[in-house]
Amino acid sequence: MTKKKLKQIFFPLFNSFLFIFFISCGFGFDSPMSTFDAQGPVAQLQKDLFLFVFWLAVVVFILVEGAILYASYRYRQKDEKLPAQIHGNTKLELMWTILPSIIIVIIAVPTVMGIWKTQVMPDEENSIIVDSIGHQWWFEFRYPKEEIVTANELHIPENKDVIVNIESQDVIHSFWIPKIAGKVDMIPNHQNKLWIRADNPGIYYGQCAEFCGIAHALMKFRVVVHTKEDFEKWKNDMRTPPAALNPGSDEDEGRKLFVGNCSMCHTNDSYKKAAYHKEIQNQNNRWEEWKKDKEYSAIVSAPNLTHFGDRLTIGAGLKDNNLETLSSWIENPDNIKIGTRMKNHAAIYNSDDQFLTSNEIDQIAKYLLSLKPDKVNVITYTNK
Amino acid sequence: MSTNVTIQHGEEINNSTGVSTKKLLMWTFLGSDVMFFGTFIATFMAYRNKSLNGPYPEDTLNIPITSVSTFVLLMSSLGIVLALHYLKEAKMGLAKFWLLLVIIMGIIFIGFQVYEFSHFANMGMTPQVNLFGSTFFTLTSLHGAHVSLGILWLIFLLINEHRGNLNSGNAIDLEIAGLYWHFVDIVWIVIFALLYLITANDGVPPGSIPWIGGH
Amino acid sequence: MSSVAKPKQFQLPRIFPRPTSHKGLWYWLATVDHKKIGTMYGLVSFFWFLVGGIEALLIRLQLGQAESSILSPEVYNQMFTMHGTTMVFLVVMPLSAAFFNWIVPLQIGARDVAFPRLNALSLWVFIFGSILLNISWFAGGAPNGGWFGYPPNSSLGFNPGNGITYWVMGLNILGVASIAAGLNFIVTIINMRAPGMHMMRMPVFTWMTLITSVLIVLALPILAVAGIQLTADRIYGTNFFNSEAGGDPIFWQHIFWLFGHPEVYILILPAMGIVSEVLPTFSRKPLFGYTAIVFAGLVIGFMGWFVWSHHMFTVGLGPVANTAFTVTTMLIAIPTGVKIFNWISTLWGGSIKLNTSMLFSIGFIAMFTIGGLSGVTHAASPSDAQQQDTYYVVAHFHYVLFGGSILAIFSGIYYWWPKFTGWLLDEKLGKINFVLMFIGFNLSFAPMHWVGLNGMPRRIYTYAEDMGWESSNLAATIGGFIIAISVLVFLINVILSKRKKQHSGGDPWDARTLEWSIASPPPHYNFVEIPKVEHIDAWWYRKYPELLEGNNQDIKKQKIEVEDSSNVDESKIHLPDLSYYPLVIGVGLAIAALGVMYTYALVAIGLIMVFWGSIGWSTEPVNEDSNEHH
Repeated sequence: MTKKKLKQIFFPLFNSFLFIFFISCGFGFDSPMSTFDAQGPVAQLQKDLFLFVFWLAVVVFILVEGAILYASYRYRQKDEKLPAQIHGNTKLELMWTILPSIIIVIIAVPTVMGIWKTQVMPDEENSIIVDSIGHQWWFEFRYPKEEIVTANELHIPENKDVIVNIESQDVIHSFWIPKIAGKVDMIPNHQNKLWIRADNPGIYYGQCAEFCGIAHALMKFRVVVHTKEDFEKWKNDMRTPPAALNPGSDEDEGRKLFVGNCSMCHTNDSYKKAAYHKEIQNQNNRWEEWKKDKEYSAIVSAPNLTHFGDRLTIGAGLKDNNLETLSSWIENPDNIKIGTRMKNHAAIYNSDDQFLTSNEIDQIAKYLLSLKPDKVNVITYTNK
Repeated sequence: MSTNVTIQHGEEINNSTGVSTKKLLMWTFLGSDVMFFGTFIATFMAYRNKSLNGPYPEDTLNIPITSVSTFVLLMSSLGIVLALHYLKEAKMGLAKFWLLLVIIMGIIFIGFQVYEFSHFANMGMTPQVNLFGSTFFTLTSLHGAHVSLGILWLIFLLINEHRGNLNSGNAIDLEIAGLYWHFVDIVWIVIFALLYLITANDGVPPGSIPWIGGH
Repeated sequence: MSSVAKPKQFQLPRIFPRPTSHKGLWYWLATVDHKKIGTMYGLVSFFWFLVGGIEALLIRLQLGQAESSILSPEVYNQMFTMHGTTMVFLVVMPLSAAFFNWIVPLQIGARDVAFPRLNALSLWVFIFGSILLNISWFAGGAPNGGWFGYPPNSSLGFNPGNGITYWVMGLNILGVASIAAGLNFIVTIINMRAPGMHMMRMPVFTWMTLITSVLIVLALPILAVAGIQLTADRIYGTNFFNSEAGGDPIFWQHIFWLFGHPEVYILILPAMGIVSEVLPTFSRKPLFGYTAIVFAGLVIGFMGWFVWSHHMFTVGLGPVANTAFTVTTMLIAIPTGVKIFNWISTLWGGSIKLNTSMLFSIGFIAMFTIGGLSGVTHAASPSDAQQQDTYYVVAHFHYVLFGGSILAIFSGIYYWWPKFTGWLLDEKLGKINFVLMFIGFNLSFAPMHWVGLNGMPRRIYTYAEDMGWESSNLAATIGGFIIAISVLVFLINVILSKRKKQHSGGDPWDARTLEWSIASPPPHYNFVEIPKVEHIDAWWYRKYPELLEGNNQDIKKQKIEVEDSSNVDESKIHLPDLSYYPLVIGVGLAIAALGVMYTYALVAIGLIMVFWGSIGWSTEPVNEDSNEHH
């Protein structure tokens, strides 16, 4: 092989590697979903373990790829002579069986320790308990101790153990907040558990990470990590009814429309006493109804909309919550998320006489945005 | 292996191992079939006692009757051994007799299964009704399909025996069918032991063995 | 036995006469020659490679930009399902089968496989199964549940229509083809080796074929069961995966991955076999550590059964199970490493010819190493909790499947092409093919490592703008198109080289194994005389017997000719006659499967064809002029 041909092959290859390497360095790990920006002990341990194995892998990579490149270059054919016809070397075989075994043991020890650290639950007495139930295509959150029900937004205090009981109502989903912890799957008939703990207040992104059907790509949620005091305030807020509406206002008209068209699936008054168990019962009933006729049922289990006005996003973590996006959603959910059960089943999209006018849509949206606890505590966190 | 088997052209005893190629194929296939039945049996065992509603095994399975059909199938394995023995000895009358008997016993076994299935259907036990129905019916039907294919194969061999095309010279063709038949029999013994003898007598209230986490 | 003439064997009356001509369409439809069957496997699976590649390009087009709407979510979900299913079952497995068919009988000094009609059956069942699967595109929608089809999402309640049913029926039929081929190759390799070819004298490619075949016959039945259970759920309303009746979706995952993990070794071991042939030939020295490589292959085949739940680390099996599978998964890196080090040592100290085939094989080692290392990071269950279902996994398996299996297959194509055809593929175009494919592949899949760690989940038809994933995805899309161009270059190479027809002769590479000791292409009976084997690398030591005395490096390149097949009395050579019954059964199975979804009439027609084919086959003698049977 001539030097010229060598140049034609090796250098483009080498350069492309460099190119890819440098470009990739420029990409960075600054996504709101980055696993490298660990904001809690679980994510931190998982990241540290990964980096430990990664750097060992880099060493192996350099040695192996280096040997390949070196051998291919150094021993390229120069003449017709046969090289030494070596069949093997038992010492080498032993060496490169034993050495990797040692590396494996070195990796396995912190790994197994990490498994037990992250997959054993803390004491329930001192933890926040949240039941998270996966639905096609939204996340339900129930707080059994505090008796709060909400959807698509998980509120927890900083620096406190949270045990998330994870299940699904329909198909397999997965519960994942990359900056806080690795994922656990949401499976019908199974109750899985995930321990999370967030170090710093802020807003974090979560997403479903198990293929669950047509809108899998658009099943997300937000996690709001409060300071300890703000979390107490949030809990109280969830018990506080919204401000009374002026009769005849858009919001009040919207409320009537909501009751007539939306409330059979969406509950929005879970701040009331005893509402917690009632809502669980409602959701079960709605699910049973839907199961009876999966194609044409007019009832589906739907996100709880209590204090919807305070939510950061709509559609399960998809768009900012404001009049424009909300109106677009109500007008036609397909604008934001194709495949929703709301579009397929709600009477306002499927029966001949229950369509909403754009004025009505506007009123409903304004009504929903008005649903905030009467004593409003303005909490501003930065997107993390 | 009988020493008075003449080696026929195409018998291929001079291959790398000295084992008949056809026989090797059958053994390998049976190894594969073990994984097939094994997975169905594992499914049954995983779902044992997990049905949320009846009919339950103790209501429907009839051990005495199934013991009879199991016995018949077991005896048919003996029958095929005898059929092969007589074929190798070129005692064609006895060979044909025993082979016919095996076929009849196989048909009796299938007959028992057909009776059992229709009886279950009358009791409301169907593949759709619960986990027990689903696992029981698929496992036993697929086994029954294997037996039925075996019966067809044996009928085919009996016809060949009758015409003189199956004789002591190519007895290996019956031997291979015998291997398959014994396999099907052994699978049935496992099924009978696990599905009938053990599960029907579980005596455990259904649903009382919880899933991880409970439901 | 007396010498009375045997009574005429009953033959099923024929609708069509038994073909005899070795030319024309009937010949190709009824051939039982392993070489022709290998060619057909190769052509059909390469076609599916192009289809699967187009499916990939469409995926990449959609993901190249944030919030794109080139593909709707429904079509996108079908696209990635079919891309994965196609590449695994319709491309890598049958391309491997193409090589098994062509090469193994030649390497062991046999005239054909043990059961030539069974071999033809595998081919036709594969072809019609692959067509069946793809009919779904035109029959209401392709399957959309992913190549792994997890219920409940793949159950009828959440996925009405025929798409997923096409998927399970297609896979079950393809499974029959694979199992039949696996059985055939096990028996062939064990029983039909040339005299003197002990197991430890077999070429490594044949060894890997044997191990792969054992994995196939043990793993595919498990998938068949899962498929039957899901079909029963969808069509007959059983409860295997019906959570409302107490069924467990996790059970599907266990069964699927008990199949699925050995499956990935089914996908990679043939590639490892190919590379183990190419490297020594173009290094001009023996494979380093033959025994270790064979043994490592056996160990990998065995240990591969104990790691399946590493695909289920996030399912909630508990710390004990997760620990067990972490450890077993890490352990399997050891025999894999042994192979890699032995391949590198084959290069080391050699006289390396960097032609196209060799470049692909060296590329294999380099890329498979990367894939293996990312696999080790997956083995650590806690960090896997972050990686699972992200693009990091997509990067890992494309490095081992594309950078591994596909690169090795291309190496095998360039290596054995002269043996198949008698002429050489152009080296210049070949090198362009390699360089473009290598660059395109890395540009496409390297960025997926970090975009996955940066939080991008899998199987999503779109992603938001402010996620920071766009540049990686754009790079990946561009890389995908570069791969497409490289495949075009390959096709151009084939066309132009065919025109040039640069004759190769029997042994263009001065290679080591028996397939190079005969003409290119081989006569239909392969060997004029079945060789007597005295060494590993039997052909090499026949050419250079002085090497057996020691490391004699002053040998002259001997002019040992390949076997001359020009004056052969073919009446002495015993080969089976043509048969169309395998084709009949292949068509019948596919029709019956179609009928399961539409009407029992089709099932009846299909089963009648299967019975007709089976009885015809069993009553048809191997050769019309003797009366013997198989």
